[in-house]
Amino acid sequence: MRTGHFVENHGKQIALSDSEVVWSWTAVLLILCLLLPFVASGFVLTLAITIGISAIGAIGLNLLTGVTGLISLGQAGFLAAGCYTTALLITDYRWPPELALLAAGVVSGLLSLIIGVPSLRLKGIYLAITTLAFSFIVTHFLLYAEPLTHGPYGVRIQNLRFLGLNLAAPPQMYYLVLAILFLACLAFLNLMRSKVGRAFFAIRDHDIAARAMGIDLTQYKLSAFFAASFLVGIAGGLMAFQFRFVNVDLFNILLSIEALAMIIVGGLGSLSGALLGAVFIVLLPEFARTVTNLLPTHLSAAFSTHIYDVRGLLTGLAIIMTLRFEPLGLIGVWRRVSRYWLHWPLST
Amino acid sequence: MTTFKNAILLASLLMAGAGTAHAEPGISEKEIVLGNILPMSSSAALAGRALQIGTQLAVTEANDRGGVAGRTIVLKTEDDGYVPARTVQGLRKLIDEGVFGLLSMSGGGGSVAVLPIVEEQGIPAFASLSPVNAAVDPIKPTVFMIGASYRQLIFSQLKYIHDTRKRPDAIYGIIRQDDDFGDDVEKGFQRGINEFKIKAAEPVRFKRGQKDFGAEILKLRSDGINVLVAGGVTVETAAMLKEASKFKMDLDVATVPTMQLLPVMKLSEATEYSPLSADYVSPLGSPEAGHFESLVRKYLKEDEAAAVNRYSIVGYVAAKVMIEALRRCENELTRVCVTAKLTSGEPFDVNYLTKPISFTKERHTSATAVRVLEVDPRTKKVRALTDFAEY
Amino acid sequence: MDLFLNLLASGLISGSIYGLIAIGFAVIFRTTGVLNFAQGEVMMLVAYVSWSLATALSLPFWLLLIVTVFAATLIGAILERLFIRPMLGQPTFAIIMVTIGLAIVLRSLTVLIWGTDAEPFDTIIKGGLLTVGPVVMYSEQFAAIVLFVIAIAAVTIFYRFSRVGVAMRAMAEDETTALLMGVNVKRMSMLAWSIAATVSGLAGVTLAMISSRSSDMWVLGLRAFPGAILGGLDSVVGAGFGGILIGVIGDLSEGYIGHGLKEISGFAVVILVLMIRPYGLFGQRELERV
Repeated sequence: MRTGHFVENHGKQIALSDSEVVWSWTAVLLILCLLLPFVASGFVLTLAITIGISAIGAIGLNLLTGVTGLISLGQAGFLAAGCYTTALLITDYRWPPELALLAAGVVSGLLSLIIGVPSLRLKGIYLAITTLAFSFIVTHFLLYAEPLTHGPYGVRIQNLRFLGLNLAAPPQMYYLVLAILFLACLAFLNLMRSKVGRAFFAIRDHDIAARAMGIDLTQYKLSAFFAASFLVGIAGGLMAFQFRFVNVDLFNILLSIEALAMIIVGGLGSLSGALLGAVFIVLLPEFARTVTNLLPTHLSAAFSTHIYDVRGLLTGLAIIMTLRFEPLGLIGVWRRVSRYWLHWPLST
Repeated sequence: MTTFKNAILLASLLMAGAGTAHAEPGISEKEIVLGNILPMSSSAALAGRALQIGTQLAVTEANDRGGVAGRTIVLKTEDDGYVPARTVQGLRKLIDEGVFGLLSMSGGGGSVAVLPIVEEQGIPAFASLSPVNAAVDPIKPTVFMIGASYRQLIFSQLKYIHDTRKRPDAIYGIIRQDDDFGDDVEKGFQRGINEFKIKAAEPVRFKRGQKDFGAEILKLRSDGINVLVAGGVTVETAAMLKEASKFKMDLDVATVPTMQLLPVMKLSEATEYSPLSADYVSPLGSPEAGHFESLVRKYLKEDEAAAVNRYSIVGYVAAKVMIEALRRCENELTRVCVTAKLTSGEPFDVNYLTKPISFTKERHTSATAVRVLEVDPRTKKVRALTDFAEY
Repeated sequence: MDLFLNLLASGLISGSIYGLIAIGFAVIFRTTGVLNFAQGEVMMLVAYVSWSLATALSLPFWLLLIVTVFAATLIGAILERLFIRPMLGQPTFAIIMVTIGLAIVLRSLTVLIWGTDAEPFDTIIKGGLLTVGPVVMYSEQFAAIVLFVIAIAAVTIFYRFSRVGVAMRAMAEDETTALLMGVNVKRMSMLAWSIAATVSGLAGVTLAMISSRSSDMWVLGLRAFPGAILGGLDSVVGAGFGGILIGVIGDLSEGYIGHGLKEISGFAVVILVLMIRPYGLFGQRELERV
């Protein structure tokens, strides 16, 4: 049992973890993730890919909202921008998919700078509504600029060769998503341990005080927007690979709200929170489906035409219950449980 | 020793043969599994649920007659809530659970998103919920479309109006949704005004989910239209009619098939219009739909029967064709055989609900003949004005 | 001129509905600092309940209004007690997330109980035509505008002159001090939700009369959101006028320019206004101390 956590040099401070136990369990998790395609069915793999892509987007949003405190409801717009960039570059301009994916991140990031500039003056909910407005304008543009974006017909992607992988096969797509998710996690953790990360936290906690301490708000807020949108753009590009058909229909306000739900239910500001939130929100409808299937047959027959709305009901209730009992989200639950076991049998 | 070896060889050959005989997905010794992917929740549920009921009716009818090749047909339905991501998920789930063929592939972006997977796996599939041009253009070996496109449906009505009304100074106008469905509706409109050389007001677009059409109708009114193509998905058409009625506009109205749905008629009953519509299936209440309606009375409970509308007929037709194709493949229940039978050009008879359905290798669309209808929202009756014709 | 006046009228009608929902947003935000993402869904629920009462009991219109107000107050109070009260004192974003969850629950619940079909809401005031010069309106459309004016007047009087209203303003400024001064914070929170439910519920009933009682009425909640922000969330009257502005700008731009601008124009205006006045047109600048 540890009595304290002492940091003796800089290396130890920025180390990802000083505990061997944590490292070994992380390794186990990684191995399990790598082995998944060998045991999982097509449907489970599709879910896993969706979770992976959502997690990348959630990490991006977490960077913006959880860490820097800039509330954004416009994720759907950035996802759409990234998705369409990838799809159009591959289909219309014959770019290789690898570069198209990177371009998705860059375009999304640059787009976010446009919304970042108004953000400098706006706070809280007013910022959120500006990002929401922006996302609507982006989707409107994608629908109406037919010569550029194919308008309502969407874009079909045929070329799916990525660094030698064939992304049409779910296991290979899964490994790509896993790799990018891993890189995104490392990037996030690295950022948090750096000067930039500390500046972000300061801005969240109190931006006027941060400015008084010498942190250039303009520079750091815009960097937060760029970094976060880069990640979300990459997630959008991966979505293009997953669906192979891109259409404005995929991106609506409910997607932005779902993204926000992922990071709030998971736990604002932490990496594990974003990951847990993504897993939770994506798996919730499946969990609700299992519950309704377990009902005795006469009950489920009574619900049969409405089974789908029962699932929606359970999803909403699950979100409410989670926050009711742990307002800090799933990561709060995790920490409470781990603290309990850490101090057992002396835990309160 | 040799006889023993031979016996083992023969036994293993037989077992191998028995194994491959059941390797076809969705086919087991007792069951044939067919799948639906439909919006069963969300506002498109009006269509999705109705279509599912129709497919179930055909399946129940077939099972009551002994099934196909001694097996019962089982129907599995996945709900996608009209969300493209979920359409893909639903398809993957059906594939995992083992499905032989699809009777529907939902609509909109979702139906296009699942096409690559359907093609890859060679699943015989019908795009039945709504016309999806991408399903048959370019042609995919196992994907078929039942029904005319919206441009044909709209053009047929414009032709009828032009031929029967003969307005001296006709000005046509259109309100349509800003997506591919609206685009198709507008193409029918454009064909009409080009062929009949009619003056037209500039097309007006509306965003999906919009509920009020005051501004749109006002714009067209100031253009002086007297023929309106009301391209609402369902209840939007009723809202447009109510606004037009407010200004007592003298209009001939052309609509999409959903005008026949009871909720839309109910919402339009306060107006004085009897809009035209068109469909590639005979309307409920017509003599041709008699057999179908008798099935509804025989097999369905009250609340299910209340949910029946023209989409149920479409589902019934699609299921009948698939079941008949299976029946014609009685000795060789494989996807390859069913696809071959479908593309053979031989007709499938559906009792005048549509014209006999047939596909060939080059033509994967059928039931494209359209009837022009008149909808009376006050009596809730739909009357066929013309017989099936190609447009 | 005919076109302009009619477009203006049309914009006022939809703007009134947006404005009423925006008032709902603002009342709850002003009193408790919580942004209620479920406002559209609450409006839908009240409209559905009202429709059921009207259909089952065939009440005269004035009685229906009273019963609706009563039902809405009850619904608002119950929702607040069940879902928001347990979250008192928790960080704001957690409460906002609960409202998001509540929105999902209410949407599914409505379809579970009433089905997905759209039904007309027929009442005695429906169907009549009002003609003022070149402008023609259905009576239920005019009712929306009347309702908006009444709501704005009522809310202004309430906040300015009644004890409860003043107490709510105190609570919005500083909850702890208000508590020390004897304001029952819990009851105020419940009252805020009841008022919001009533105002937007009546808007929902009017909307159901104008178009239909349908399971996608909640989308208007999201459309009214920019209106509330435009006016400034901490000014109830401002939020109302923000809604009107969104409606009018939308219809005028759609009528004269087209291209589906009805929805986007509102958002573009919001961005522009927020650039000039970061707290909305009538909102008050938050003073932050370090």
